[in-house]
Amino acid sequence: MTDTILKGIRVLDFGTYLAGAATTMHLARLGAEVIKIEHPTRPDGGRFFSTSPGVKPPDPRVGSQLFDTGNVGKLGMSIDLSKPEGKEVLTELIKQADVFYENMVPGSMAKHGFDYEHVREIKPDIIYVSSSSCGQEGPFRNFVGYAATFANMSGLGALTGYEGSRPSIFVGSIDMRSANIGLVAILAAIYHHEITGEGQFVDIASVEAIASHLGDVYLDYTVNGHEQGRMANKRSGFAPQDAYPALGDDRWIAISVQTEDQWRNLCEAMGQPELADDARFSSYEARVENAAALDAIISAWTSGIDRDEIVKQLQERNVPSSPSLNGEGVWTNEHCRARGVHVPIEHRELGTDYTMCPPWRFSETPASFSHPAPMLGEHTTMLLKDLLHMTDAQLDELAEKRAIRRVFDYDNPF
Amino acid sequence: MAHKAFEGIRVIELAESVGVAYAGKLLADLGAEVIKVEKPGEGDPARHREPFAGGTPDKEKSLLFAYANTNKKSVAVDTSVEEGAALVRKLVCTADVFLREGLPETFDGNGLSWESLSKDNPKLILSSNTPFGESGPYRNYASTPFTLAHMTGNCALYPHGTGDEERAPVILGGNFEEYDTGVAVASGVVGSLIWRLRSGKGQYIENSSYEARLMSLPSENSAYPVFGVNFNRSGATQRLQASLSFPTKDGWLCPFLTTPKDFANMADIIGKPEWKDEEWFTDVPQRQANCEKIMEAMREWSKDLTTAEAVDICQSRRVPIGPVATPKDVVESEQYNQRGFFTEIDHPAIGKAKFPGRPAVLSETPFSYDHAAPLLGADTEEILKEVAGVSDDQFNSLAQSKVIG
Repeated sequence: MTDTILKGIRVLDFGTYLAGAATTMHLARLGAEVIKIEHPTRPDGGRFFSTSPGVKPPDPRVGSQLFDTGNVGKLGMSIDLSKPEGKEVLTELIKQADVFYENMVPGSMAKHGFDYEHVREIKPDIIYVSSSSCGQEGPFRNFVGYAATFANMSGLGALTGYEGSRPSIFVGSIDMRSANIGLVAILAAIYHHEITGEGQFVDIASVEAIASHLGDVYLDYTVNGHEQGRMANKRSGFAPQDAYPALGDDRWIAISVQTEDQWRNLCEAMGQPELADDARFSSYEARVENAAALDAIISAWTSGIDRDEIVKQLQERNVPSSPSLNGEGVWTNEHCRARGVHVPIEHRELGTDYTMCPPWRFSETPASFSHPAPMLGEHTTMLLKDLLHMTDAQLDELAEKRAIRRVFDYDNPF
Repeated sequence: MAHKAFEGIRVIELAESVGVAYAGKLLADLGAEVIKVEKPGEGDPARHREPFAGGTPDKEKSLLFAYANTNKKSVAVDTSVEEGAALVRKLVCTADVFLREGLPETFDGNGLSWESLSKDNPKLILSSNTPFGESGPYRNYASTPFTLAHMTGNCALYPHGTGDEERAPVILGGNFEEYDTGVAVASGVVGSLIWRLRSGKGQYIENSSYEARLMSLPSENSAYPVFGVNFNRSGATQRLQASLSFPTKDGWLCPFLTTPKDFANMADIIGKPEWKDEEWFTDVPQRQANCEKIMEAMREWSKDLTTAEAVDICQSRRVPIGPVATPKDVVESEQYNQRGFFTEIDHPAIGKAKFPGRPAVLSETPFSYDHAAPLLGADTEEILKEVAGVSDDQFNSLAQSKVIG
């Protein structure tokens, strides 16, 4: 019988959209009981979020595909915190919780009376996690933003893409970086709690989570006064390095040469062994200096050949290379298939959805999901009965007061 | 009073990628004793990567290395020879965590395999790191961080919405994606430490840099199998939301407009309040059809403003528009500085420098920066003698035969 890492850890989750939702999704994947709590009629905005052009707007009761990948493995409960009865229910749940997570606009939980100070009065050893664009403190604490804005506030837009063009905007994977950093912080807090019995407050600022992936770039400025810009695919230490066009439409191959042996092997693969000693390219420095000329030569070779055939030829000679894949490419790639990187999620309403495999394959505590993202209020009844031992009569009363939502039906949700 | 989350936890790091080094850094910054094993002479490959303090290559002055290895100790041991591997084995047998890099079979003969180590240290947590994982057709592929990034599906999306979609897809800026490995590895290790408290058992974790990167792409990579749609870098969706980056008189702005309220507020801000009552603006499909007209008006409004002024105006109306910051802007930012994101660290070769610090704030067990990244082999003698039990004579003979440096 397999065990899980966070068995017995209960998380009350007010995480929304992707950055917030995915942090606790990771905890669910590691075995925590994550109870997502939403307002009965104004649920997580991620439920409405259509990620693909041409896809019809999602039914928010079910949730979008983005909602599903961000909330898979959680239980769902619906409570109105503006109602006194709703506050009472949450108060009772907090007494049985280990982690409290929220990513509302800073100050929102305080308005309902559930900021850290108050929650700690209810459960002194709670691990209380707040996540926001810019953090709970500082002049920009109320900053409104999403992945694109906080990636750009950390400098990533100024650094990604082509010099002289516009700065890039960003999509969901940026949110995930914030969630992944949040996971490390929360696990450290759980570890400390297991040893000392002490809870704590965790403040995640997405701009800082993103910035922590750019530390060497900032140091270049603080130490050398050198400000890095957009370098497209070029990076020091690797030459040649780029994505080169292969045969076909929008087909690219990534080649990255780090050693002189690899350089010689690349020249051989191209059928131009004499190039290796050409003075324009015979050293790393020369290849950086003459990158445009070299890239033209490599592109002339790659553009007439099938992408996967080039990779095969280069790999036979140990030249670091890979196909540059889009979504379809990842889905059909033989290595991805063999590794099972797409994990199916069977969803009652959405059919088969997919997420990515976890980044850990634990020998003793496999990470997995037992169910898809919850529908709005799906587990309200079950949880209130199980955890708070409520009777049907009590649930009816709460529903009558609109303090909870317990059914899927939009017309009569209470 | 602040505690260190991982006080008393010993980690041995035998890895040459920045990604795995970053996992060691995260653990070290949270209080673990992280002992980095490096090749005598040249040391970790990151020591030879730019940028260098002062600009000139120097293995003690790589800022990339200095960032990714704070709070660690360095022992220089040649693990390619039997005696060197045996020394590392001794260290690992006293440790809680082993961050190892390389395909498992490369450790079969030298005592550093899981089978061998777990026998002598059953509570050990071993994170095994490879580029592509331990199985699958690409397990032996030659790769660099760059080729791995291009395989994730992410590069096909970048640069996003810049009009460069005919040009080659690119990796994210700086060495951004290399750090993903560290975050994934650290979370698996800390999770295993939690489980060990309850079970008393260690475990083996198979990590890969490739799958660490995929951890951030569940939504992007589901679009094709679920909807048959390939995301691309055109930024078509954001264009319809009038949310491509646009210039000010001294920089750029990045918008992300979604709700009807965002658009109504934007109309007020750019001096077109009448739009709020016009059907082309309130009806979503019509507004999308006119996105160029809206963006043109936004550009007209911003061209005489500084980025800071424009951001102030937008944020005061709760419109999600932020600055496109450069590295200098981040380093000088009031927000980052007031929150203490940057911290001064005195490095023995680089001197005192303002370092980017913690990725998150923990009230009781904060990330802390007591020591700079180590000089190559700075702790070889202390660690080998005190932890591995090497005698003075043995130490001298190991040094003479260049097993240690």
